[in-house]
This record gives sequence, structure tokens and C-alpha cells, in this order.
Amino acid sequence: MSGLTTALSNALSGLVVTQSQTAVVSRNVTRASEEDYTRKTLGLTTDFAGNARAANITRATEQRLTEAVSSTNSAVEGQRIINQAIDRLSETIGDVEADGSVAWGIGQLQVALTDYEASPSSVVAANNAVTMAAHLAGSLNTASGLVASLRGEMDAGIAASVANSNTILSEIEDLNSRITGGGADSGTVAELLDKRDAAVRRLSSEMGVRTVNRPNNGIAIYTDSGVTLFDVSARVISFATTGSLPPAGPGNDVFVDGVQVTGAGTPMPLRQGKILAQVQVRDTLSVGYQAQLDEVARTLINQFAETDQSTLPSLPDATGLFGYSGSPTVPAAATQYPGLAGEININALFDPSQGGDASWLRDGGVNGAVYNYNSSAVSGFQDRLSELVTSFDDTVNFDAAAGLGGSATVKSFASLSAGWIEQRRAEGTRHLDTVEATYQRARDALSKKSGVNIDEEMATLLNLEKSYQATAKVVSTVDQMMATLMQIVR
Amino acid sequence: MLLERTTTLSLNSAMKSSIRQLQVDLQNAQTELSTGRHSDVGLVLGSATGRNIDWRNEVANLQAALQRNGLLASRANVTQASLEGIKQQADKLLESIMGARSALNGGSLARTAGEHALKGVLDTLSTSYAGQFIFSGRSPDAAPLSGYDGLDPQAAFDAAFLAEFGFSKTSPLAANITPSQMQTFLSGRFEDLFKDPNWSADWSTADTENQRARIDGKILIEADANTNEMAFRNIIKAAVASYELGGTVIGQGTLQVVADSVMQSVGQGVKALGDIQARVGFSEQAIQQADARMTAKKSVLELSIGRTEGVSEYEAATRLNTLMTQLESSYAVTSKISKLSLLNYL
Repeated sequence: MSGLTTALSNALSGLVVTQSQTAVVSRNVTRASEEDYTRKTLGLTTDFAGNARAANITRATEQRLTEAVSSTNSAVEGQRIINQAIDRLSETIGDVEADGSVAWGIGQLQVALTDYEASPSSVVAANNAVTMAAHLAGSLNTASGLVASLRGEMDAGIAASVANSNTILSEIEDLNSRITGGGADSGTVAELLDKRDAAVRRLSSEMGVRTVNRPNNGIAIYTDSGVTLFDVSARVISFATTGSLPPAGPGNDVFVDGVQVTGAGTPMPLRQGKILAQVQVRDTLSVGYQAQLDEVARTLINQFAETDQSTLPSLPDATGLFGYSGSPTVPAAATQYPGLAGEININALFDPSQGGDASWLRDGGVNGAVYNYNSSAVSGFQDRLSELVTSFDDTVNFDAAAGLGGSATVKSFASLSAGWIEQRRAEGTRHLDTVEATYQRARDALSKKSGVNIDEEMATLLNLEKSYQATAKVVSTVDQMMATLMQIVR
Repeated sequence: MLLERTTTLSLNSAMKSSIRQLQVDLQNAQTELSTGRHSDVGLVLGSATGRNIDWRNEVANLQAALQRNGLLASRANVTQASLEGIKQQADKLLESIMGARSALNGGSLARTAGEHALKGVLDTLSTSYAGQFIFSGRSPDAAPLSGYDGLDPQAAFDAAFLAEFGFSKTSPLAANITPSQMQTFLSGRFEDLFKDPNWSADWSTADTENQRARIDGKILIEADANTNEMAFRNIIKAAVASYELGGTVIGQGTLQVVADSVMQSVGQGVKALGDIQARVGFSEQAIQQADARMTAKKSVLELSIGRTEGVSEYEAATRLNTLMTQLESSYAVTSKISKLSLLNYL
């Protein structure tokens, strides 16, 4: 009799275990297409009586792969930000075929001036040269404005990223305390772990992170430079939006737990992620391009400046066709005047559309009679125009801060600047391809390790079904045997 | 044996991303085929973008220079034709004055010849091209010479005549002027009328310097002539002498002195004119050479631009075909994989 009872109780516990396993399989199948979901398996044990019992639910995962996904994710997200920024900057150049770039504008101005030189008495040629100059000043203004707005967007982007990171960290704090707090069953813990891994991955978009395991499934999170982001409790990431960004200087820096992690002089600089990329665009890339634009603007202002024509010159040079807020003082040679590209304009006295007279360009003297080149007052005066035309081919010195070498002609400097941007775009695109491929591989590897294969689950389900059928058969057989026994007794 | 696992999610998403990439490539290949250039030139050229912008600027520069040279060459043609016209008028004056020298009615012959020559030369020197007076030097807005009769030049002559001889040119007393007196006048007061500052005060509004023309970036040439050059002054001087003094009642001997002086002036003028013609001719040649040089340079640059920015149409078409085949098979495989499931067999 006790044999039959044991068989029955074994069979019944088998039915329960199979049901629990089926529940796990069904959860795996229904959530197979969730990216953050890890495959769960139900461990089995036997009790003292030899009955099967359901033990812990475990997650299929591997920390090395999870970390690889996080770090490649940081790299991809950062590079994306940089590439988008370069794309924006390269809008100022456009296709080389199109006529939008600053370098092209300079070429056009030279052509217009040469045409004017060929017919110095022609009002049409004079006006055309001034129009081309206005166009060039306009395209420098536009480019400078674009750089400034890009920098503003980056600053706002850093603030958004920091806020997002703080939210994620408090989310992690919450999840972590529920995981380590005890009291939750293994199934719930597995789900919470999935959620926490997903949160860490989202955090890795904003900045490079490293995780370290703590007892009871707990974790600690550090930036890739080693500053604590989370250990039992979340640390605060702080950043104050930069009110007005100086054209040549950096904006505010980001602090984690009071430690500076971006910008110059930080001992523990971030190495990857969106926040770092945005700081780089704001403080390095944009500032570099702005310096180049400023230098082009300064060279143009200097080039068109008027010189004292007296036999014994005593007055300083004064700005001519191109002016800025400091006119008529000429900006210092070979020194960047921050933000000049945004300020450069056409002296209204030259501009026919503002009631000016374009022939100042031919004669000079807009700053007073001593600056007049055309002393004989002839309408076919060419010397000043010839000087201006050839000045485009003069080698001048540039501020080393622009990063394009010390001396060049203004034309080749502007086209070097276009090449500078396009080279970064080409490099960035190639680099993004590489890191994206690495990210894809890491994610595939993790997915293969921890994801759900529906066919596999179906096969398991078939096994479970068979074992359920067999166990049920055992129950019904024991039942019949019991009945037979009872009949004999009666 | 360790079997590599895969998951349903990665199996399905692998296809998705590869199809997306194929579609982007396909679109690029399509653009390249229709434009003949890389779909994103800046990306392909990278740091060489600056070089290509330089090339394009240079091509635009050369294009503009060639256009300017076209105008310049036409202008030089007009100048050349005008110079030729002046030379013919001078020759005719010389011929007529030679006849008048020994003719009985030499005075009136000289006057007519002088009048024609003067009008013709003044007219020709006021030739304009494209709205600019070509013999005005650096003052191309105004005609270099206004005319003669009743204007400053004639008044200046009349005054000089009066000052020299003490009576006006219409006076019958002119018959008493001796050849040597005439000689003194011609090489003295009369000569001075055509020298500076009288010349620019009474005759010419032209600037003494000619406009220069940039024919090839750095090369500046003088393709013009202006009325202040001695060639024109001499011919005009001859014509005025012939016209004005031919109209007086001077005697035969004195007229011969005038005729000799006219012939000498014309001779000097024509010789100097030849120099100017040679100079303009040289400019025309320089323009032609510059044009040939610039055209060659331009086509080399255009070739370089095409080589660096362009794609071979054959290659683009082949790529387009390959991509289409690839995309089609991706679609087929995707639909087959999505149908593949153990569920269908349970």
C-alpha cells in the first residue's frame, strides 16, 4: 500500500513541477521579441522523500557580454552625436559643385574684382563686386551662426543627458534595493535583474560605465574613468547650462559626485558616451571651426583695409569694404578675433542697396581724403583694384589656434578649412561603421547567449507535454490499481 | 559537441538591418548613375575636398578670364582698325599736301585736305567700345577730344596767331608773312599748342596713362593707346596747320614752308603710329597666347575634377544590378525564414 502512495505522491509532485516549467516556457515564448528579456530556466531539486521540487528560476546571461554591449553602445552613441554635428557643420560647405561655401565665395569675389579692374569706370562692375562681397560676408555670418546654434544645442543636450542619467540612476537605486532587500521570489528577482541591466545599458548611452558585482545580486556602477555613479545609493551628476557661450572658449563642465569629469584639467575624464561627445563638439570641434571662420573674416577685413596715402604716412590703416564692430580700427594680424565671422559686414558707404557708392572700392578714401588712392581722380583708376585683386594670392599669417598651419593665401586657407571638416566627416563615418559593427556583434553574442529561441522552447514544451502525459498515466494507473485492491478487499 | 545557439530575435533582426543597408546603397547607386558623380562627394574626398574647391575656383577664374579676354580682343581689334583708319587719313593728307605745295590754288587745296583729315582723325579718336572711349586712357567716360571749329582748340590757335603776327588769321595782312616768320611761328607758338600743358588744357581730356588689362592672373598688359600720344598730336598738328594756314592768304613761298612742316609732322606721326600698332598687335598676340594657355589649364582641371568626383557609369550600373539582385534574394530569404517555425509541424 505504501508503495502505491509513494508513487502517487511522486507523480503528483511531478505534475506540479511540469506545470511550473510550462509556465516558465510560456513566459519565454511570449516575451521572445523583447530585447531586454533574458531566457529563464527553472532549476529542479528533489526533497527527502525523493519528490521533484521546483527550485530557483535562473537567467541565461553572461556579464562579460553584457559589459561589451554597454561599452560598445557608449562608443556608438557618442560617435553618432559627433557625426551629426559634423554633418551640420559641413552644411556650410555643401557639395563642392554648389556655390555655397566660403571658399567659393572668396573665389567669386576675386573674379568680380578682376572684372571691375578690367572696366573700372563701370558702375555695374563696381556694384557686382560689392554684391559678391556682401554675399561672402553673409555666408560667413550664416556659418558662424550655425556654429553658435550648434554649440547651444550641445549645451542643452548635455543638460538633458545629465537629467536623464540622474533619472536612470535613481531607477537603478530603486531596482537594486528591491533585488538585494530579500523577500522577493526568484522569478521576481530575475525580472528585476533584467530591468536593472536594461537601465545600465540606457545609462551607457549617456556615458561610459563599468559595473562591479556586490553580494546578493547587488551592483556598483562607476564611470569609465572610475568615478562612483552608484554604490548602494545613486550619486548626483551635476551640470549648469552655460548661459552665453564665449565664441572661442569652453562651456561649463559636468561633475559626478563632485568630481569634474569633462573639460580641461580633470583628473578623471569621461572616455565615451553622449555627454562626452557633446562636450567635445561644444568645446573642441565647433570652437576649432569657429576659429577658422574668424580667421577668414579677419583676413578679408585686413586685406580690404585702406592705407594712408600721404607721402609721409602717419595714420594707421583703417577698415575698408569689410567692417565689424571695431571699425575703423583694423584687427591685429595673425590673431583670432573671437566671433568675428559673425560680425563681419559690408561698410554701408560702399553698398548701393543702402544708398552707398561702390566706387569707394576703386578710389579708396572712405575713411578720409588721406586714404584716397586715386589722387588724379580719373574714372579709369586701376591701381587700388589691382592691389586688391592680387592680394588674394598673397600669403598671409594665420593664428595657429585655427589649426590649419601658420601661413597661406586666404583662398587656400578657406578651402583647407572645408577639407578639415570633410576629412573629419569621412573619418567619423568610417569610425561609426566600425563601432556599429562591434556593437552589433556584441549584441548578437549576448542575444545568442541570453535570448529566446522559440523552436527550442517548443521542443522543451513537447518534452514537458510527454512527461506530463506519462505522469498523468502513472496517476490513472495507480488509481486503477487502488480500485482493484479495494474490490479484492470488499 | 558545443552547438552554437541562435535566437528568434537575432534571426529576424539580422535580416532587417541588412535590408536597410542594401536599400541605402541602392539609392546611392541610383544617384550616382543619374548624376555621374559620387552620391556624397565630400565624404569620398575627405580632406581632398579643399583641393577640389580650389580647382573649381580656378576653373571659374579661368572661365571669367577667358570671357574678359574675349572682350579685350574685340576691343584691341577695334583699336587696331581705328589706328589703321587714322593712318589712311594721314597718308591722304600727305598726298594732298604734296600736290598743294606746288599748285596755284595750293591754299584752298591744303585747307580742304586739312579739314577732312582733322575731322576724320578727331572722329576716329572718339571711337567707343562697350560704352568706353578707347582712346581716353584712364578716363574712359568722356570723349577724349571734343572737336575743333569754334571750340577751345581753335580759339587757342587764333590767339597764338594773333600774338605772333599782330593781326587775325583772316586779315589780308597775312599775305605779308615771310617764310622765315612762318617758320618761327610753326616751331614756336604753334608747336607749343600741342605740348603740355596747352594740349591737355585746350584739346584732350584723356588721361596720359593707358588702362591696363589683366590677361592671365598675374600678367598685366597695355592694350590701348590714348590721344595724348605724340603720334596723334603730330597728325592733328599737321591737319590743323594745313586747315588753318591753308585758309589764310599767305604767299606761295610761305605756303611751301607750311606744307614742308605738315609733311614732316605727318611723317613723324605715321612712324609713331606704327609703333602703337605694333604694341597693340603684340597685345593681341599676348591675349591669344594667354587664352591658349588658360584653355589648356582649364581642361586639365576639369579632367581632374571629373576624375576625382565622378564615378564610372559602367561601374555604377553594374553595382546597381548586383544590389538589386541582392535585395531581391534578401526579400525571398526573409519571407522563407519567417515561415520557418517548428509550430508548423506540431
